[in-house]
Amino acid sequence: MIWWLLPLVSVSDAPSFAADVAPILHRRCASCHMGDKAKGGWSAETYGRLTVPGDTGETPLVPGNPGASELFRLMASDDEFERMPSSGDPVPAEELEVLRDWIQGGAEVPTEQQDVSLAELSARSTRHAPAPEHYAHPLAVTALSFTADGQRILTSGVREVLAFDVTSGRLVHRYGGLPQRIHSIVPEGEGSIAVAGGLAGSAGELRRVALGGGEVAPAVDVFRDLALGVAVSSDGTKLAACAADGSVACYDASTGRRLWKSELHTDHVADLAFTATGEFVITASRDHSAKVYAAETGELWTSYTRHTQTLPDREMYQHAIFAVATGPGSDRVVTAGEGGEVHVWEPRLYRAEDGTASQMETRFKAKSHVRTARLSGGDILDLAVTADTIYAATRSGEVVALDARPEGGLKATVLMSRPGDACFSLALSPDGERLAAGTSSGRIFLWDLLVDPSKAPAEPLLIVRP
Amino acid sequence: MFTTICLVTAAWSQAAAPVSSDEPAPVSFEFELLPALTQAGCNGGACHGSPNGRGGFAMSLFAYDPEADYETLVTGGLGRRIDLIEPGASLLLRKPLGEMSHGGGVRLAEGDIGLDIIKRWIQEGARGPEANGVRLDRLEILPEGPVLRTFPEVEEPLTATAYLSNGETLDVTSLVSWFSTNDGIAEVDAFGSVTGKGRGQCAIVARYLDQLVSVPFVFVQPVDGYEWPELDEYNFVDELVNERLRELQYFPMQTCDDATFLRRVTLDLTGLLPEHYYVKKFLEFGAEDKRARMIEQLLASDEHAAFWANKDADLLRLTRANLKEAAEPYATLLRDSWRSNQPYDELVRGLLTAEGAGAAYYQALPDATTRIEATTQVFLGSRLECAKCHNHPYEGWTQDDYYRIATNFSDGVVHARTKQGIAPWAGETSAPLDERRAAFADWLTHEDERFFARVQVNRIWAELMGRGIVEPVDDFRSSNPPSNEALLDALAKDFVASGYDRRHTLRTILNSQVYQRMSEPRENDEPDIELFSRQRRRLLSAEQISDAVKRVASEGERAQLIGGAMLGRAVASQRAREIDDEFSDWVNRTRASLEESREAALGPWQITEIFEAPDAFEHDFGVEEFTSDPLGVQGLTWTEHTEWEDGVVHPLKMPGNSAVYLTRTVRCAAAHTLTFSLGSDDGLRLWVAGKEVLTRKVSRGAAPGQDTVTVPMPAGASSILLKIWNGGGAAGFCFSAGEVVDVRLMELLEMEAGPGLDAAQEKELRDRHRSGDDEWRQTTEYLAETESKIDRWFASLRLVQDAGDQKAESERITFLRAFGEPARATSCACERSKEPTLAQALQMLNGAYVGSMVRAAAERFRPMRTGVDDLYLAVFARYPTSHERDTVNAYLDGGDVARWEDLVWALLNTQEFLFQH
Repeated sequence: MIWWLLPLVSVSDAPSFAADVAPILHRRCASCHMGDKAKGGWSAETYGRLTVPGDTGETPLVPGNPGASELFRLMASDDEFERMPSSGDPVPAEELEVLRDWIQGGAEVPTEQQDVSLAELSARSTRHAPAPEHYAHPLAVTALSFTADGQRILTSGVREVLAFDVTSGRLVHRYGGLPQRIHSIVPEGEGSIAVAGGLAGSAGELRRVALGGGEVAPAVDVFRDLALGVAVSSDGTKLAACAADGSVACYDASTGRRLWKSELHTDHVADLAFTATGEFVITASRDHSAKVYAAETGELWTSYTRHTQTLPDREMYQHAIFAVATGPGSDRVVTAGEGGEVHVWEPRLYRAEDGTASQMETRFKAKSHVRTARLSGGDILDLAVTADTIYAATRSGEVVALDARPEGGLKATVLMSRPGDACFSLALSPDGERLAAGTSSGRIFLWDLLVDPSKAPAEPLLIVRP
Repeated sequence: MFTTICLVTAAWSQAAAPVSSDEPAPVSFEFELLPALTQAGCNGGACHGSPNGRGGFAMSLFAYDPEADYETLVTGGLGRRIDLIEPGASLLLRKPLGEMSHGGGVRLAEGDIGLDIIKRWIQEGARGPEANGVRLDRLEILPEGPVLRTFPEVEEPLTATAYLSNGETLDVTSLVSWFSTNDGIAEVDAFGSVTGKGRGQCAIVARYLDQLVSVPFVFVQPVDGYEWPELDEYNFVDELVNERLRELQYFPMQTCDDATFLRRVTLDLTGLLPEHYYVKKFLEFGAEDKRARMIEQLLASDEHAAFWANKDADLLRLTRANLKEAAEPYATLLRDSWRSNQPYDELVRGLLTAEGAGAAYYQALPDATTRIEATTQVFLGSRLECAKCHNHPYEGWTQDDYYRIATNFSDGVVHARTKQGIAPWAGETSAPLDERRAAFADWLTHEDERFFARVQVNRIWAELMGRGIVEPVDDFRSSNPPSNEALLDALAKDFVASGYDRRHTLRTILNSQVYQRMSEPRENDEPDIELFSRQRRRLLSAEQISDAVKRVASEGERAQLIGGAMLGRAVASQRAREIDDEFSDWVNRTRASLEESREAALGPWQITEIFEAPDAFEHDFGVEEFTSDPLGVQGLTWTEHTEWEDGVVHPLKMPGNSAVYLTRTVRCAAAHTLTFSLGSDDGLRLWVAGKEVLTRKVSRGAAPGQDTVTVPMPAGASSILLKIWNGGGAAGFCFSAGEVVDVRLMELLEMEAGPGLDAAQEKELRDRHRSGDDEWRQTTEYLAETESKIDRWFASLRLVQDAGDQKAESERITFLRAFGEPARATSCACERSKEPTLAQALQMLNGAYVGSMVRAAAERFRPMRTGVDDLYLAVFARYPTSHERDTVNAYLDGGDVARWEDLVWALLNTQEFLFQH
């Protein structure tokens, strides 16, 4: 019983195509009228397709006239030999009512939705069950962020985002209506945040939440598996998200319209970031590669493959990449993941020195600009960066600072070590003065970087357990 | 909407609710959760237990690494697998429950104990492995068995108890993974309840973490009118086999007739068909014990030694490609071992400790991995390769055991998990490789009774009976129990008591009534599969068929060669006796002449590493105090250079200001002076028999004869020590000393005078003497040639598998390969294929090899007066029936040779010819 996904049936009197109509049509028609073998030559894949007559030649949709719309007529028919769906129960009266009202009202569909699949439109309109009132256990902190004003810490909850006061650690607000798991939170200016999450193995969502509260808007986009990362370009004009189904997508921040989507990764895309100039989107994937996309077009610019080494005369490994961080202020990219590997590189320099033939790797590696370090604490799950320092969180429960200055040699200092309590997430306050880390036991630790960052906070600021 | 949620929440809390008023103990990760996952099949080898897991989710195979599994489950996949707040949303539940697509399908259902454990574990906060170091000591299954049940009462509940290292016990009956080794005989459910399904025996096996325990079951189905027939029992083999048959109510077969026995035993022991005149004689022979006498005669034959050595050669991977020039001596060693009936433990010890030609054992197994895997498969009957990467899934072998055994066979073994060395399986960690190998050989052959003797008698049994008591013969494990444990034990005990006498075990089995049973199944009786109520019909092996076909075609030629060889042997030994009368005179003469001469015999050079020091010429690098015995100096590594000839300059790679030491032995038959001639680049120092006799600190290029020195030598062996110093630039040396005599001869003579000669050395010295005689030498050469012709012409056995002979004999080799001759690429008995194939049918019906043999045989038998009878004796080792004789004669009457070819072809393509029965 998948009870944490409750479809939206009807909320207001004027039916909306995306929220009300698309889910009904998708539910009732998709099993037969989809893809190349759509029955009767009629497809219900998108609005654009369903208005095209099938083999009978009858017009499916006549705006303002349900009776003349073949689509509606067949669904509402009393004759069980012609009624649709041809197998299964008739469409319930309340759903027919929604369809009739929508056609009667002119069958309006916003232009940007006309070629979006009904499956996607209905998924976006999923309304989630409320969050549990109390948590039986502290919740692993898989997503962590400061608000734009630096006053609050936002963490992942169950079907919600939790807001805590940064000084007292008190829970101050719960933003519900979100999917089961939350894997990434980023502030979009003062008033809103973007959230990536979903239900493991089944669905992913990118949502935007107004910090002032109010009605939950439909998802910006949906995925076939958990959405794991979301990022905002530094000028605030673009939004990008990635998911466990291997996809990466970029959106116009003002309209939410998708600019491009890429499915070149072959495994989970765990994280992504815009470069400081906003020119590129960099991804981190379990498929052992980091990809560089042109932010404007989604064109693959290059693939960073140095987390994998397959030279027969050296140690051979293939490391998943779990985290990527960029900037600030330069083209610098930091990627990290399995094996405790941290790589510092720049897309332009990398593409210039990267050969195509694998046997050339040795030669290029010798004079590569890439700086690397390998942490003893094992897999790195998240990163946070300032101009001089790279902070890394590890599966073995460490928070490590690496000296990223040119002369620093990526020297590592362990800031915290909690064996057995994996550190899933890191966040820097917008002013760069505070660092927060979240662990699998639900603890959040806070460092004042101006005072003495090398000491571990003795006590967590808070434990995520409403 | 809220109703739904409340209902579900209620369902969850119900699962968590304590059954009684006592709060249940929290779920243990190691002792409950992981076994539950194993039971559901999650961490099996085909699923998430495979090295790369499935769908990015990889656990350790059958949970051998709990810490890693915990991390994988809780923090792996970025934490997506477990949801502590809403356990039902956990992938770990939704996938196996079939709530979403899952490559492994639905693995759990409501009501399963495993499901309850996983739910509770998540609800309780997904607690990790306990840090208190408690381990599973042992798993006990009750009843232990063997369990005997008679239909229809064939149900038996088993219980499983885990004993932990802290003294606690857990009832794990519903947590272990139960399985039956034969579902046709018994099934077992998830709660350990066994139900018999058919007549026979099988084992019920329980797996719990790294423990595997099996319980033997026997199910008897009473057979209407079952009565044990009157039957001879010749020895303990018969008693033990019959006991089992009686228990399970199978009928034993009666003893086969003489013709069948002769064909069977000759093929089994020599791989050859009995010669047809031999068959006639045997059938007519009246002695009561003629079968036992025939067995003795065959056991003593060279053909037997070769045929059985060939079985060893298969397992030991004896090929020219593997062994180069070491192949022939290795083959000889294996054949001689059978010929002289060497105790088996002695043979194996020789192989494992790389004694003499036995060194080829390791040469055929070049790396640490093949060494351990081949050794354990061949001698322990265990397949250990799985344990290289994880604990063996079906046996008690752990990954640690694997690397411990590997340490016995190679230097520098590193454990895959700990990345460190490990103590050897047998012997001391600090012991050098030789001693570690010897320690393993001791353990294998004498300290542990579970493997060595049992594996070997089982192999012998399988060769004679067509199926092992444990089958496959190299897969001994508790989940693959012997079909007759008492029989296997008794044979092994008898083998040990006989002093590991393989011939004794062969004799015991061959003389049993069980071996001599008929192979025809009894009418209306469901034959047993593994209890040996009758002989098995077996397709002849590649070599057997090939030789059988050849023998039918050309037995006469072979008889001629054998006659020649016998004559040659007689002449050679007569002549040898005559020559040997002179032996002691010859020894004395030779010794005297050596003593008179002023010659010396020189051993090969040995050289140290290069030492550097500013005063390298004068500096003693720890050698110069021991100039009489430089090889005895501790901590030096000497490298032998047999290829360095005397009188030639040998360049050395040395930096400036460095020195190197060279040494060799010099033997003089008597005390006399000897002149050494040297050259060096740059300086040199020379010690002979412990005294410094030459010192030259010069800067020069090396040339022969730059320095000479004459030294008085004692009789016997002394050491020469030469130090070469390089001041800078090139370096090298040159050495010679008189004429060199036959070193080996001198050694042999010295031993003859001193400690005495062993048998091999005695023969070597005598042969040196005899080879001075032309008649003896020529006869011996003729004999060797004739014997090799016999081998080449008739024996398809290829003790040394040679790529070179493929061209010459391509027809026969293609034939052999089609019938399953192994390429000796593995140590598995299964490499010799016993499956019938289309290629075999084509070879027999119209292959080139069979074609030429059919023509030859037709030519041979056609002119004979009783040609048809003789042909039948040659092909089937029996006379034709009168019906057969009439039919055949009618067909041949008036026809040409083509009719005879048809007849031979038809007979060769009968099952009676192609099978052993």
